[in-house]
Amino acid sequence: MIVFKHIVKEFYQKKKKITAVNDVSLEVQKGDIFGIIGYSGAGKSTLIRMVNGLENPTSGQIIVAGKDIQTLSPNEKIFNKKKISMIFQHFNLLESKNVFDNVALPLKLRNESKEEIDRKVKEMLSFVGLEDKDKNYPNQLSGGQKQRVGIARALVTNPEILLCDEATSALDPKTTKSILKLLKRVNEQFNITILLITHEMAVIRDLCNKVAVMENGQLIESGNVIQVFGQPKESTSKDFVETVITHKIPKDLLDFYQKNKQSYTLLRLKFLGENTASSLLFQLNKRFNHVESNIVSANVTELEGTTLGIFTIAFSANESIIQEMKAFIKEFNVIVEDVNI
Amino acid sequence: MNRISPDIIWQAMIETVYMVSVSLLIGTLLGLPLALLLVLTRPNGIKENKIAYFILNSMINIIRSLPFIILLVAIVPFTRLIVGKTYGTEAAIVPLIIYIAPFIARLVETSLLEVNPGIIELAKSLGAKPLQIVRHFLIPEALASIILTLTTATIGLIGATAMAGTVGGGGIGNLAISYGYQRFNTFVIILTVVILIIIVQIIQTLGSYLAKKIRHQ
Ligand SMILES: Nc1ncnc2c1ncn2[C@@H]1O[C@H](COP(=O)(O)OP(=O)(O)OP(=O)(O)O)[C@@H](O)[C@H]1O
Ligand SMILES: [Mg+2]
Repeated sequence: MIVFKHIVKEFYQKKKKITAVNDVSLEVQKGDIFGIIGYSGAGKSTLIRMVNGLENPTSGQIIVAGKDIQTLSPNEKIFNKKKISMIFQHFNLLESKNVFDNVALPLKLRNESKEEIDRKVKEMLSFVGLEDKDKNYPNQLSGGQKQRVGIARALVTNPEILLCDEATSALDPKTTKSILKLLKRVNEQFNITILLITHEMAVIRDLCNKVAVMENGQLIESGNVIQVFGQPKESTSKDFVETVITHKIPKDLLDFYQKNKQSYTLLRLKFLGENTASSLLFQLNKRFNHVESNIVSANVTELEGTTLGIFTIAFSANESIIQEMKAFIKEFNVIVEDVNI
Repeated sequence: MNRISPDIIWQAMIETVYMVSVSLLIGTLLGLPLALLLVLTRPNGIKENKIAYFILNSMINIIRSLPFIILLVAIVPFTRLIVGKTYGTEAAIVPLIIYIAPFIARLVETSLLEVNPGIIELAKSLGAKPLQIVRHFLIPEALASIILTLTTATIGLIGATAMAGTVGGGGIGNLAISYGYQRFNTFVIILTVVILIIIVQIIQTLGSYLAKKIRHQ
């Protein structure tokens, strides 16, 4: 649906060159909720803004719905833009217009008839749960309501792609959750592909099926959320994962196992699905019943409707038994990692 | 000696209102498009055009740097060309327009530049053409601020009309100068000042009220 091919974007500021996006290649498939995460200044906004032509790449290709957007004629560009909507961190509602007129604006630009506008706007307002607020002005709405208006305005033109630039960063955690739920509904009900950028891993966890990590203009890692959450490769990705999944070992336990390094081996088990966990632990205890095992830390995270479990377990056994246990665990399709303390 | 006929005062008020409203109207009709052109052609504007911006910008600066009394005299030939005479209320309106149009252009430009850049970004993301951006986004969002701008311009115009007496424009300000200042008539000075204060108050209150209403506060 959206393909970035070797995208580079350079800015010049007082003759100094800033490479905001550095050779990024990425593919977003139809129906994806694709999240790009990175720290401030990583180049996320610059990248997403190239999809709807708010920014042009210095080099590289962007293909949206099968068309290289830079080779389009001005008219085709406008046509292409109509398939892409955007929502913003600060909502960008017109203060001078009420909710109805804000949502109606994209249709007015297309000279649609009054009846059509009326029908579509009402339909969208009820989809986002604001049917009774149509006469209100933006300064009479809460942040969450404002973003709902932004979403209604984005959807009123039946887009195929929704771009979200930090759509929940100005909202409190509870409102964030409700907006993320709404975006999930947008994806499922209208089959709209969503490309979002954020610096909050919780947003990726709660909403996305795919994730890419950006740092200093480059894409350092990308994949399914389960894969990246389960086995982040780069240190920045690990840092992001750790903001939502902690496998920190409590201090007193850590002290204990550091003192008794000779007698215990710590292993980290990562698996999908709850049943895997209980049956594995049961089988493990049954098979190696003479080995003492203690759970040191455990974390279960819901991702894409399944669960990612990460357990850290201390076993008291000699090296050869440990190797045997690792092989046994792997048979359950569970990832085992050594934990160094 | 202290008496002045109410007819004269009434006549002066009519003249002031006439001069102010005609020059405000035409000044706005000229100033508004100029402001839009400035905003559109400015560096990083929606229709960036360095040459057009430079010419407009310098022209406005030059006219604005002239004191009104100088402008009044300097454009006498032009005034004759436009209204066919160089004395009287109509003759005063021409320099008033030349004076106020760039002033309005500058103030409206500021109002337009104050529009949240996110709104322009939104407009572009919706594929709006430059004229659509102006009509559906820039103007509605800047309207309250533009109203306040025009209020300021109106009050500035009232001040300028006092000097329009030089070319026989008449008006309240002129009354204060010719009857009051030049004939040492304190009563007329006070009276005209009070009238001016009331007019300015009314205009400012009206402008602020309208702006507030448009902002839905
Ligand atoms: N118009 C511009 N002119 C000059 N430099 C720019 C411009 N836009 C972005 N940059 C620079 O490009 C880099 C990437 O910016 P970008 O806004 O894409 O980051 P981001 O990942 O979205 O950050 P944030 O999370 O803070 O929004 C930054 O160093 C920024 O200063
Ligand atoms: Mg950003």
